[in-house]
Amino acid sequence: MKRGRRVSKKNMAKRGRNRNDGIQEDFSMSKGKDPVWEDNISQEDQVWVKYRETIFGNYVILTTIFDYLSPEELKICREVTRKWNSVATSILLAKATCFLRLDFTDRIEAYRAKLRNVPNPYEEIKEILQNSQKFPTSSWVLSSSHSLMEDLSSSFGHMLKSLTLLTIESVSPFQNIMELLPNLEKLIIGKINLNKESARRLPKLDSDTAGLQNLRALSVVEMSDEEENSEFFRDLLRNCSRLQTVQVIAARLVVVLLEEGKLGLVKKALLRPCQYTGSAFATIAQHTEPLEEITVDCGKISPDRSISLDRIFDRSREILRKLKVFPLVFFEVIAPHQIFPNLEYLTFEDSAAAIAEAQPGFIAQVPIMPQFVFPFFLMWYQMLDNELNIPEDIQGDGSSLRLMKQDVAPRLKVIKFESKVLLINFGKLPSVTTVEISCPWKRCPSFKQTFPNLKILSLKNTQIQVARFNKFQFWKRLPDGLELLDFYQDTFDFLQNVLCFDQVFTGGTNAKWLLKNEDRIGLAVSIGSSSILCIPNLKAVRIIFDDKNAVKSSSFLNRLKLSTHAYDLAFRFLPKTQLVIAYDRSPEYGVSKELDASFKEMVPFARFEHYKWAGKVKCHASCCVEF
Amino acid sequence: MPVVRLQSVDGEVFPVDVEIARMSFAIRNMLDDLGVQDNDAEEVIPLPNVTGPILRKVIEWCTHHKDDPPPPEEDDTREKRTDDIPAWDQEFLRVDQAVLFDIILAANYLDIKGLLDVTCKTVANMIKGKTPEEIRKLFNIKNDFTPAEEEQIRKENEWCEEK
Repeated sequence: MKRGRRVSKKNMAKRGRNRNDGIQEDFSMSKGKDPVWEDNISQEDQVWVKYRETIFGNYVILTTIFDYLSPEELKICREVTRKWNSVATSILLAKATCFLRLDFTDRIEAYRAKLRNVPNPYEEIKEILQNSQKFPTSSWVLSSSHSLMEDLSSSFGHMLKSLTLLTIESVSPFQNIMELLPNLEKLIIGKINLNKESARRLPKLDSDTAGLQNLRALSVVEMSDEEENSEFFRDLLRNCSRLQTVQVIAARLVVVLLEEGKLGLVKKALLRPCQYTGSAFATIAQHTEPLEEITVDCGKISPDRSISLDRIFDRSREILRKLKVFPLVFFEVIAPHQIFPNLEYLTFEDSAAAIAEAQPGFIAQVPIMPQFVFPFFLMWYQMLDNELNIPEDIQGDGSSLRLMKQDVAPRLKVIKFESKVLLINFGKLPSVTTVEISCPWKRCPSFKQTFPNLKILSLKNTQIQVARFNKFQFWKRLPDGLELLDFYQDTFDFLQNVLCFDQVFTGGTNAKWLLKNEDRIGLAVSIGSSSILCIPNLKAVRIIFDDKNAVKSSSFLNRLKLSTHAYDLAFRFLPKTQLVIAYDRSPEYGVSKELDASFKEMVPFARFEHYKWAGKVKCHASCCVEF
Repeated sequence: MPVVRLQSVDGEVFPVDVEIARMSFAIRNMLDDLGVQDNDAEEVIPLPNVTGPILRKVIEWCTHHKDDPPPPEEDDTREKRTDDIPAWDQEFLRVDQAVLFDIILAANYLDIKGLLDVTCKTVANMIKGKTPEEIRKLFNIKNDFTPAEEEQIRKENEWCEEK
């Protein structure tokens, strides 16, 4: 292509916007004027207003400057302006440690000395705490040692009364902390590393323990076998009469809540398979109270730990049956027959693949069950076929596999593939209307057969091996009404065979490809910085500026101006294609008649339409292609 | 050496070696995106946010630093110094504040990390050792705090010490 091509300014302009965190309106420099640094007293104020916004209002720049300052200097900067305060504080928090967090550790002798020298530190601390917006109580983290907790209880007792949220990273505070916090509402227990001995030494918590009286939310983030089995945590759950929300990682604790008739409090359960989990899970499964969200994480599992997986999940189907959302982290639970009659949304997450790669030996222990029909499971088997004795009926590429029957997950509407999956035959899934693939896509299923009612196919960053498309069935002509999302460069060969679309929303195809394949271009549409999608035989392109804020901003004109360069580039190839540009012309969006006229001047070949702002902020510019 | 032509907002065109232009990640990405070949001498890259005099300064800096080793990986634990600005850069940045700020804006827009770092270091040096009022005066910034807010921050500062 040699037509006096100019690089689109749009690319550059967009980068400028991205790097300026919302201050783009004032970013552009004084076009056509003399450089502003010439001493001109009358312009001085104007100049500084500009720099206040562009330099000292820009988070990236301000952060880079402040990064070079010491905590002492940052403290000074906090006092300059509100904006400086906000940026300097965030950096200061990383470089320095503020009193409210650190005074509970006895590592910082200076603080303790300081406290001793202040006549009445508590009043002052309390006042800071009460007035402070920077260090809310939620930032309190106790990682204290035992000795300090004694100090804490004797010295800070009355101040702690105001604390409502606490994160504990050491269990020793329990020795007395719960007695000190009568108003505690939320408790987050982090990784506390109890061993058998220390678990045994934990105090008994009674129902009249002060800290339990008002506790409404409890989150147990990480837990060892010993902790899961300790009486302490059971007491904790049993004795919290006002508990409303629990996030818990241990199945045994869920059982405690179940026994207490509080299973409904569990909003999130991340169940860590351990030697207790199987029986606990089975107990949970016997009860009818539904858990709506549950994740089973096998991240900590090791090959040498003896776990009977079927024991864990054999009796859990009642729970699974009630689930509507199942983030599939634990791969062994993958869709046995008819286990998900109510499933509407299924995600294949990366972690499962990662675990399989990290611990292949573990998979070898998994008994082969014919109901494991989802494709990534087969992929692992294939990866490990030297170690496994794979039954004949799941050998090969899976194309002969018909285990995924139509009546499995009959309500499944959305499938997202986010891990390195090898897609194999699913059978027929007529209920599925949306498929999103954002992982390397090594093999393509028969979409036509598998998803006869597909409405949305999203391919994000898929690195599709185009040759594969020839081997597997695909549509020669996409079904009416199918939306294609996020296509990338490699997808084009496939698109060449596609003759029509209802709508295409593109975010991807690479301009480089376009420029190198000029002769194959039927039509190009561009939105975003370098996204150009080529589709033959399109009759019209409509570009909608539907971002209310963008239209209101002073940079909108510039944006449109820059965009038109790209449109111009694209439409050189599209002499027969109608370009429609739509935006809200209402006065409140600042598009005056003059501005309106100047748009038309800029893009004379386009037809302009009024687009009524619908009140939703979508992407900056979306593109709707019609034929 | 292959050349690209950079055009400032005021229409001035600067022929620049591709390797030097590619020190700007914004330009580099764009060249890569568009598949511009090294011998594509007719290429004109418009830079709508940079004026000619500033672009000249930026190119001067890039030219001088074209053989610099790549910057080390970000390391938050490493103390960031401001007393290590090379003599050439110090001389280069001996300019009015407004020019300095325009260079910062250009470096940010063009995504030239080395230049952004050294200019921000220079501003950091200007801030060091000054009181809040002196800083406001230096940069002509208005104090937008209420007295109560100022008092609050001072109080918080007293309870904040270095790790």
